[in-house]
Amino acid sequence: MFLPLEMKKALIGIHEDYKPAVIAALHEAGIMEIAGIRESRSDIAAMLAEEERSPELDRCAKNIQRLSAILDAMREARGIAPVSAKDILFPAPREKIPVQRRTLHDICLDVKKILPETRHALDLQQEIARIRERFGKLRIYRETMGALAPFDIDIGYLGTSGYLDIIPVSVEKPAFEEFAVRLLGAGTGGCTVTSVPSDGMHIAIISVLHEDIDRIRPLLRDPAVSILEYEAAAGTPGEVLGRIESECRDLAAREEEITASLAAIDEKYGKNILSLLEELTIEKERMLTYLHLGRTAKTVVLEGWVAARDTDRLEEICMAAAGGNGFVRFRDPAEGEEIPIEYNNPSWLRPFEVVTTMFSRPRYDEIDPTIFTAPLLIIFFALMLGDAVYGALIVLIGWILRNGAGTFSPPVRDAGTILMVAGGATVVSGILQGGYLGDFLPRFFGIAPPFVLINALESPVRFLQIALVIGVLQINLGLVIAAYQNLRKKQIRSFITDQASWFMIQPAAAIFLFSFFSWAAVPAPVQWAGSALGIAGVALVMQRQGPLGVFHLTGFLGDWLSYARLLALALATGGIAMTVNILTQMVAGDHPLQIVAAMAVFVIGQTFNFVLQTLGAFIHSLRLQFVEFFGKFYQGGGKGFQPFMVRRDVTKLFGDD
Amino acid sequence: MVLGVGTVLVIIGAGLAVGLSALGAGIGVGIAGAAAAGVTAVDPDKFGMSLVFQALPQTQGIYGLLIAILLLMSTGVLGGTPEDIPVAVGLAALGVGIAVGFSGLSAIGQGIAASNGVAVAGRDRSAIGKGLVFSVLPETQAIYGLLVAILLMAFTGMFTGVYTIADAVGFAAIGCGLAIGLAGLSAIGQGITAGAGIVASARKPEVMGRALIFAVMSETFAIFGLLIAILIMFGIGLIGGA
Repeated sequence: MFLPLEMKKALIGIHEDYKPAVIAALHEAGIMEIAGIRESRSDIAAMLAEEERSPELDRCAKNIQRLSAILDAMREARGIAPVSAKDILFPAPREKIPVQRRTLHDICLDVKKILPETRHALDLQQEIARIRERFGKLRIYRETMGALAPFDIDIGYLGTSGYLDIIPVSVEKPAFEEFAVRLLGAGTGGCTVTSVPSDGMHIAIISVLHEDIDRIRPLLRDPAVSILEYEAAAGTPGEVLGRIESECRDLAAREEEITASLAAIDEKYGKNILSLLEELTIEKERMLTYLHLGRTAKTVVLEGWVAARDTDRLEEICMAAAGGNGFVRFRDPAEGEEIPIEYNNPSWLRPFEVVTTMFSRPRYDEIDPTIFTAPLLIIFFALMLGDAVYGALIVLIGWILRNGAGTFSPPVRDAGTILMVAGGATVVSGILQGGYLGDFLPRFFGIAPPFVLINALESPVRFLQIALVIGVLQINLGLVIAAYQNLRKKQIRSFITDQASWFMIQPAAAIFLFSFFSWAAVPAPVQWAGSALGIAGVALVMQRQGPLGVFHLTGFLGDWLSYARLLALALATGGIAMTVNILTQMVAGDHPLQIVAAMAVFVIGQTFNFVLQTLGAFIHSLRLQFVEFFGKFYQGGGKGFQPFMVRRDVTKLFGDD
Repeated sequence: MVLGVGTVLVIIGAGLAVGLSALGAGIGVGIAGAAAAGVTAVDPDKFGMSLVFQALPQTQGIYGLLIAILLLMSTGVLGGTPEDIPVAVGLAALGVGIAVGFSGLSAIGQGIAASNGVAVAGRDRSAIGKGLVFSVLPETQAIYGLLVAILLMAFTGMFTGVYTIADAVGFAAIGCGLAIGLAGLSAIGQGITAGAGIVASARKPEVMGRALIFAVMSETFAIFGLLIAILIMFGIGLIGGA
């Protein structure tokens, strides 16, 4: 619980005939992180040859590519289904497809059977793409025809003919007059402009002789001018528009038809393709793992990390899969090796590991701070939010997450658990601070909340004192942990300069403060002793840090005073809730509209305060852990343990539940 | 309704508290919002996450609003009948407003850090937590400002309505406000460092601890201001027995 899980380095040697069976067994067991043996510091690494890349790997990758393309085509046809709030909060369980344990050859045979029956989906997908592209163009032509409708000309005349270029354009209204003047004065032998105003624009048809077209081209590149796009067609704009509408209807009908065909393919083969894809992906992962192995003439050797508690199981799995034709050896990690880190916490603490991971995983020989961080994070959050109703709302949100989407997603379940615990603690803190949507009870009903111990708004100085005492306790907890780590590693010098110095400075500072502010009568000998202790402590800090030691002294003070944020956030929660309540009172009156307005102010204001303060309380609580607490003893930087493990999202092996 | 000089000074203090801190919060939210808009334009799904980052520098505005409301309530301008407030208390209220108002400008630094946070988290979802922690660093100065404001209000009798301080103490309270309020502007430097820390720890996650050390260095100067503000309170007899 205080240190990461103990790890062992495993060396496995097996006869080459059993390689697929052993790798498959390790993959299913998911207890070993396989390392590249030829790059490792293993004694035998230099003696081993590189394992060859299997030709099956390319076959596997090719089949994955083909099936993925077909699946994409079917998904595209399906589109994005509307998702209700209920679907998000309480998603329906996804039924897994049962599959047999089988060889890559058998899986590829199934792929071979399914491809001819589903390949048609790719043609349909391309046709849909063409239809959509055509739709896009028709939309533009439709707009052009709509704009040209007032002219009643034959669209066939537009474009280049024997002597003329006829160009339809739209010009922004304010720029039109200047455009027309510049066009007519461009020195062309013959240029006519016919225009009609339309919706902030001027639609114009320009007729110009071929030899003059280059003279007017710069004018057409003006940002206020757009050349209208059209397709060669005969008839008036109204007639062309009718034909465009008719083509759009035909295309929509064809798209619907294709979508139905794709949906039918999806219905018939979708699940099968999904399960084949997952089986192929698993096989591909296994074959990629072969590249990390080394070999002699007949023996395949692999190396990796395993938790010390799983060594017996690993040996049993390997020897069973290899029929006893192999060996498994374990050793302790060597100095300088990068050891993967797996947390070693009881199940109730695991949801909080994400907080430590957010900063950085511990190194192998470093104390895992999760056990200390979890309760402190919750206490600080509860103190800062300090409202029973807000706390109850957080419990409700946590419960919904845990029992809804959390049923299928462990990270969501963990988030739900953290919220429920934090919300529960906030309810208690809210009761002790008398916060129920701020001062809602006394202000609107004249009820004095029971069981109130301290209210930040009424006793800010007392609350501040509590916050600073909490700060001293947490900072010293960090120093004690750091001292323990230094003593465990026999780093006595670091212990004296980095921790013992602060254990000397703090009591000296306390004596100084009590004496300076006259909070208590401090006898002279105690003052002298305190001064000596303080000077010695400061000297140790300066000796270790040099001139930068000054920043360590102010930094320590800053760390301590930073706990004033417990008061600041508690004040902000209660104060803003109280402000919302005051505004509600001011808006409220006898008229029904005033009551509705007051209720709106109350609901919107309290919701805003709830969201913002919950976010603030969580982030500031995290900050106190990461900056003030971790800064005293924790570095982190460990690499997570990533076991070689099968991930089945859509399939399940027969017999696995 | 007749307003005395003391009450008017309290009202000016409330104006400084909410006005300056709202200015800081507005600029900070604007800086973060510009980055948030860019990230959302690239990926509309990042809207919610971007909004969280943009909301961070709002807190200073809330602190300012809170102190303004408390000041107005202490005079009875809000939620009661305006009382005759001694000039000394009015001057102290001015100090309260300066403390919270100027330190509220720390939101500018927070906005700078949050804009980097939203940009990095927009590319890498796993960087959200670290981005939030770095972005919250420059808020400490505002918390110090709030702390001094609350101490001044508590020790000058604004919470209890029992006023015993002399005019000179009221002037000295303005010194307290200036000390912590102006020192709070160090948050702008901290925001720049914190923003760089977000980028550094996203590139190399294991440097987060060291990047935090760089980022908290600017806080030292805010602590100088806090220290002087507390010493002034001690020197004029608000704290302790001098």
